[in-house]
Amino acid sequence: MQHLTTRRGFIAGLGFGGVSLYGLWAAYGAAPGPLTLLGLNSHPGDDHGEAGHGTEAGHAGHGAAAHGSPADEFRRGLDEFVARYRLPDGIVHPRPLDQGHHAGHGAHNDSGPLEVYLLAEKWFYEPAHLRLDAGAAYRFRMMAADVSHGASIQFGRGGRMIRLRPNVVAEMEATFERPGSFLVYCTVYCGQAHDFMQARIDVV
Amino acid sequence: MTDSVKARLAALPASDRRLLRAISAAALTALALGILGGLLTALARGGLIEVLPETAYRYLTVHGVSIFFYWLYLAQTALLLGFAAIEDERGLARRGLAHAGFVAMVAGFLFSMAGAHMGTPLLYDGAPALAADKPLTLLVFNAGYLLLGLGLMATPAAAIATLLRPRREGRQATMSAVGFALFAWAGFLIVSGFAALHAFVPGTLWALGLAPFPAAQGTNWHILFHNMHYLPLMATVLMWYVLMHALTGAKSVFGERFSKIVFSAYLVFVPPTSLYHMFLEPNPPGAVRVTGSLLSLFVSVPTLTAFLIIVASLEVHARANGARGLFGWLAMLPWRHPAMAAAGLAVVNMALGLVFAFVLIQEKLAPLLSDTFFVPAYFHFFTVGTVSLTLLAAFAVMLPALGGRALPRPGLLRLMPWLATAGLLLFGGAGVAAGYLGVPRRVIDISYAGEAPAVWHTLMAVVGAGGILMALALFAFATGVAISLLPRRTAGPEPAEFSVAWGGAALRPGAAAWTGPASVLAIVAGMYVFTAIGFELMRSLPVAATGGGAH
Repeated sequence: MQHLTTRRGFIAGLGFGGVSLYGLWAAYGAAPGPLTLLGLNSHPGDDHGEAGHGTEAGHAGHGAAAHGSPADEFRRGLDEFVARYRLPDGIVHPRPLDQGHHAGHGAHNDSGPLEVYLLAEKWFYEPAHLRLDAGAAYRFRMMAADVSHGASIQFGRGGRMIRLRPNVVAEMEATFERPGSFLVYCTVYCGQAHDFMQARIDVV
Repeated sequence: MTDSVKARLAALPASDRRLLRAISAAALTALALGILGGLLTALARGGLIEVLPETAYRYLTVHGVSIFFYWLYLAQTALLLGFAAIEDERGLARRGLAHAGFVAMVAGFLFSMAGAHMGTPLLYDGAPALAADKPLTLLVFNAGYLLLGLGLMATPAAAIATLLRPRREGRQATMSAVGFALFAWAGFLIVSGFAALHAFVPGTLWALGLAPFPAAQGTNWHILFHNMHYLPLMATVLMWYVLMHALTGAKSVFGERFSKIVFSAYLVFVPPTSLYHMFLEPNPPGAVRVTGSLLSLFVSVPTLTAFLIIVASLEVHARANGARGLFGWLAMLPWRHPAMAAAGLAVVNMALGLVFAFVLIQEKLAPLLSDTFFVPAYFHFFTVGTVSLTLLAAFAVMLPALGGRALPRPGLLRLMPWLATAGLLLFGGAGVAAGYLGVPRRVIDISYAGEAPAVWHTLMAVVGAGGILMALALFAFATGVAISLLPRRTAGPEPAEFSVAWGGAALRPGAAAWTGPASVLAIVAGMYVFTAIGFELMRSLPVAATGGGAH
């Protein structure tokens, strides 16, 4: 009589032990629940809770229409964004402005978050210093200009990052919950001065 | 040694033994160079030597290219050919193909090293955009990988021909489990060779002015990279299977057919699990990320099952030979053989590697961890702690048998895997903590003009110290193994304590083997703990962020 622990079925089943991690994922809302996986949940959205703050969001619009490639559009938007929100000390502070700007790139829209542009290029970010308001919703529009880069916002204990590919515009919506001054660094090796590619976000 | 492995290796034709020793020497040279590159990188990153970042990135390129490509693949080639050759008493078939493949791989190594010293350091993935203004650098660098790819198609083809010859000639009815696994391993190596060509031909053609710039190399690289991740793991568990039989005489208690099914499982479970490398890319849609995560949960199935087969078989044989207590059988293993020490610790390191790997396969944690030091911290548990120690253990058995020269100072040599593991625990432990806290990978100077948190420097100092210990211990072990390549000086029987003979004892009916299940339970518990830490850290970030898609 074979002991349970030396039976093929037991060994084969135990080989799937790592799959049990799904239980933790589902508990944190980081994976569809079992009912959704089995197609028994008529409201699949109910099982897509947030993993921390990491749920995927749709992309609501891109500001005003523009001509040319997405990269050209991005650069025009960036120039407008910096010109509109640059402060005398050089820091860029996107915020609702009272003057009668037409709605366009980087303009505030009451129905949505404020757009923030960030360009990554060897070996700097444009703008290099942002000031944002705690509690305000922002939509980051980011792009690498030359080679692949990345952007990680560091909060001291952990951070949030994204990879940026050349001429591909990536979007991320973010609301900073408390004031602070946060380092931004490049996450993708981009050449000799990669170590020195950094920016700063002050949340006030 | 209780098995005939040593005798069969010693009985191979002289030309086969010469080839196997030459490939092994090339593999160990690549390892030594890679360790040197890693050591210098650790010193630079720890602030213990002052060099320009560009110089340090060159060290990192030499480290990654030498270890990840040439050590791992030359070593696999040598072991594949060696163990395939003894499946048939007539030695290797298609020797010309094996020789040609070896020459291509060595030439590739020379090209890769030359490329690593030209222009912008390209690291081991050789992103063409970094050499956009220096096509000659990319040409030389890529030529190395193309030659390696060709070698990886030619040499394993000789192993396949060797394994099939007895069947073709009617001398073998059924392939053994080891022969079958070697056959699958050879096939995987050939696929890796194709993947290398697929990834690096477009850049080479661009560098020659024959094609447009290879904008899609990133995706092709991921295909190659995924193969490179998991193929050595299959080689590792196969070597455990072979080594444990050679060192203890124990055979699988589950039968050869079951082993064949498990080795085949690599072909089923590895290819669909590659999406998790791309979680941080801006392009994949949300559904692909979710599917990628769920599929990745299956990536450990073949490795865990093969591990369970080996551990349960050893435990049952040990109990038949008088082992008592839940874990008492472990003390009966022939730990005095340096190969046993290396393979035994490789199992422990694999458990740790699996725990941390499963943190990274969750797409929601990618924005927290993907490009941080968590990644090198986890994969060193595999690359160094699991795969390299296992391949060196296999060399410690194969090379003395091929040349007749015993391993030097075995008492000292068997300590090295313990020291390397101690260094790895420092390196990996501090590196995982650093990853959670946001320390980037592939950055030499992490000060960011004084803006980086102070704890980053403390953790990197520990990483550096652990890396130095790990590198020195691995180098010492590899040197000891390499000495057995030298011409024979001493002959004589292997010390009795180098092996046990469990194969002859009658197995006790109903004997339990709880070590494997307990190990899997511990691994899964570790996965839960370290994944939960990641989720809690994500929750504690002072930002509510969503998205990451591209347009």
